[in-house]
Order: sequence, then C-alpha cells, then structure tokens
Amino acid sequence: MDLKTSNFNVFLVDDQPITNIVTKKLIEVSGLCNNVYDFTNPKEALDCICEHKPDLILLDLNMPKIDGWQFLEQLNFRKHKSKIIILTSSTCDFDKEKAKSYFNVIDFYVKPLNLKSTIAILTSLNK
Amino acid sequence: MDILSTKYRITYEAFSKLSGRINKARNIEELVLVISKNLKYLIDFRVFRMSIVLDNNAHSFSFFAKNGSKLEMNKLSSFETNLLEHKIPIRHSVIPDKFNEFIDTTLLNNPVFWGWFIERDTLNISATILSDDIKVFTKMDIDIMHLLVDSFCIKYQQLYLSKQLTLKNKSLKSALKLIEEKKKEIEKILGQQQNVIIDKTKEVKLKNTQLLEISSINAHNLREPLSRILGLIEISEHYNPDQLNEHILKHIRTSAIDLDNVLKKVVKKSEKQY
Repeated sequence: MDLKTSNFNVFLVDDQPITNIVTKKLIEVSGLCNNVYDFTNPKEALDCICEHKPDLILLDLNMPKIDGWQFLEQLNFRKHKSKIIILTSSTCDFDKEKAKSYFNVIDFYVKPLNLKSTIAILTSLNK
Repeated sequence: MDILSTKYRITYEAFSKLSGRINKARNIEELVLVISKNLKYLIDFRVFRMSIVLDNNAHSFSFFAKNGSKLEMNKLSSFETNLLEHKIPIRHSVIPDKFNEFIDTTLLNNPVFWGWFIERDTLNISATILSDDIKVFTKMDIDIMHLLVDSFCIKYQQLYLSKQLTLKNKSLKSALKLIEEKKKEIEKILGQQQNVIIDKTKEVKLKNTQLLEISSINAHNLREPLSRILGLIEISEHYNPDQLNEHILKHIRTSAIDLDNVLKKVVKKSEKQY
C-alpha cells in the first residue's frame, strides 16, 4: 500500500481535549494528513466549516450544549458535503442504528482509535 | 211432547248464545264470568263443579245458582279422585262435605248429588252437580250439561295454553334482555381490559426506554474517561520516555480521576433507584 500525505482537511469535534490530543497524535503518527483542526466547542467547528471545507469530520456524540445529533442536523441544514465518522465512547447499538439514518455519516467507531483504524479511515478517503 | 220439544228448543237456543259468548272470551276471567252469569238459563242446579286435569294439575271451577264462582288449583275432593279413577257416574242423596264450603246444604230440600267422568282429547274431567227439589236437575239435562262442559273445557284449554305461551314468551324476553345486559357488561369489561393492557404496555415501553437511556448514559459516561486512558496508552509508544510525564501520565491521571468520579456517581444513582 502506497501511503502518501494528502491535503485533506480533517475536523476533530470532541468536548474532551485529551481525546482530541489522542486522535490528533494518531493522525500525525500515520503521516497521512497534515491539516487537522480540533474543536472542543461544536459551535466553533460549525462556524469554521465554510472556511475550511473539511473532507472528514470525526464527531463525538455526547457533548454539552450542542451534541453530536444536533451538530448533524445543523450540518445538514447547511448542505455541506463533509463526510462524517462518528467517534464515540458509547458502545450502544441504538446510537449506531440512529447514526445510519444520516446520509453523510459513513462510519461509526468506538473510542479510542488505534493506529490501524486511523490509517484505515484516512486511506478510505483517498479512494 | 210439545212442551218437551219447546223446552229443548229454548235450551238449545240459550246454549248457542252461550256458546258464542264462550268463544268470544278473551281470557280465563271472562270465560268464568260468562258461565257464571248464563249457566242458570240452561240448567237448574245449586252447585255445578268441573275439575279439569291439565298439565298434571287439577283446575277446579265451582259455579253457584245465585251467581258467583270459585276457582281452585290442585284441590280435588275424594269424590272427584274416585270419579277420575273409576269413571263411574254418581247419583246420590248423600252430599259430600266439600259442598258445605259453597252452600249451607242443610237448607236444601231432598238434595241430589250427580257426578260424571268426561274424557275430551287429552283432558280428563270430573263434572258434578248438586241439585234439590227447588233447583231440579233431571236426566234430560245431562246432554246439555255435556255440551256445556265440552265447549267450556276446550275454550279453557285454549286460553290456558295461550297464557302459558305468553308467560314463556315473557320469560324468554327477560332472559334475552338479561343476556343482552350481560353481553354489554362483558364487552365493557373487555374494553376496560383492553385499555388496561394498552396503558400497561405504554408504561412498560416507557420504562424500557428510560432504562435504555440510563444504561446508555452510564455506558457512555463510564467509557468516556476510560477510552481516553486507553487512547493515551495507545499513543504512549510514540513518545520518548522523558516526554511521557507531560504528554501522557498527566492526562492519564486526569482521566482516571474523572473515571473514578463517574463510577461514584453511578453507584450513588443506582442506590437511589432501589
């Protein structure tokens, strides 16, 4: 497999800064993407979407103020074409089923990511 | 003979009138009243009594010369039982005590007691007459008496059966009404049961949803700090040993404390629930 750094824009949306640190480090170690923006405030991420047009958003579900579901609703409203991967600490099947009903959600991962799954996600965007 | 034929003619004319009135009677009371009023124009008697065995019951009718009548149920006298059993006609000067219930027999002049067994279709009838020198009953009156018993009994049977039918109809109707009421009651109970089931199902569904929510919240809240710790361990190998404290251990400590706090909360919450 020929792994090359791409010009993806990736958003990390998680209210826990430590989670973003972990994910960001994994992406950095994978060497597949240099443009990673992390947000602990979903509102800020929504505001930056038009500017950065992220190819991928790694989205947490359980967040105060705006949770992952609300984030998805607002994103749909803006008709943005970012692909979404849910990254949650919940192992609940109910959330997984619900996530499937959103057109732009392409996958569902339970935290934490490891290097292998990070590489899998980023290479899938290349196709 | 002329007098006799005149008497017959008058008697049969009277009988045909009475027969018409009997036919017109609409109920048993009317029938008895018709006989009571008109019998004296047909025959002379002190007391005329008929007992009809119908439906295993004895229906007795006593008519008195001075108008008036008496109805009795299942009160056969011994002379009637004998008549019905042996079927032998009676003509006697000894008067059964029974007649003292209707008339003072000591005041009669040479009283005579007559009795006949008559069979008509399914009916067994005892017909008895008490007469005396003043109200003279003769053998010549027997034919007309038979005719009278015939038309009375046939009419009585008809009215009695129609009364029974009416009663049966009434009880059937009330039974139907009762069934209808019970049916409504059952339907009501079924409806209530249905509602109870619907309510209970709703309640259970709601509880299930609530439980699911609680378990989902617990799972998420518990796994959240744990996933951070696992993630930190995952990336730790990509740091130099001297970087570990700042980049990893510090965060592990924070996350472990968070995890501990969540656990304490969950335990407290479940203690509250039960």
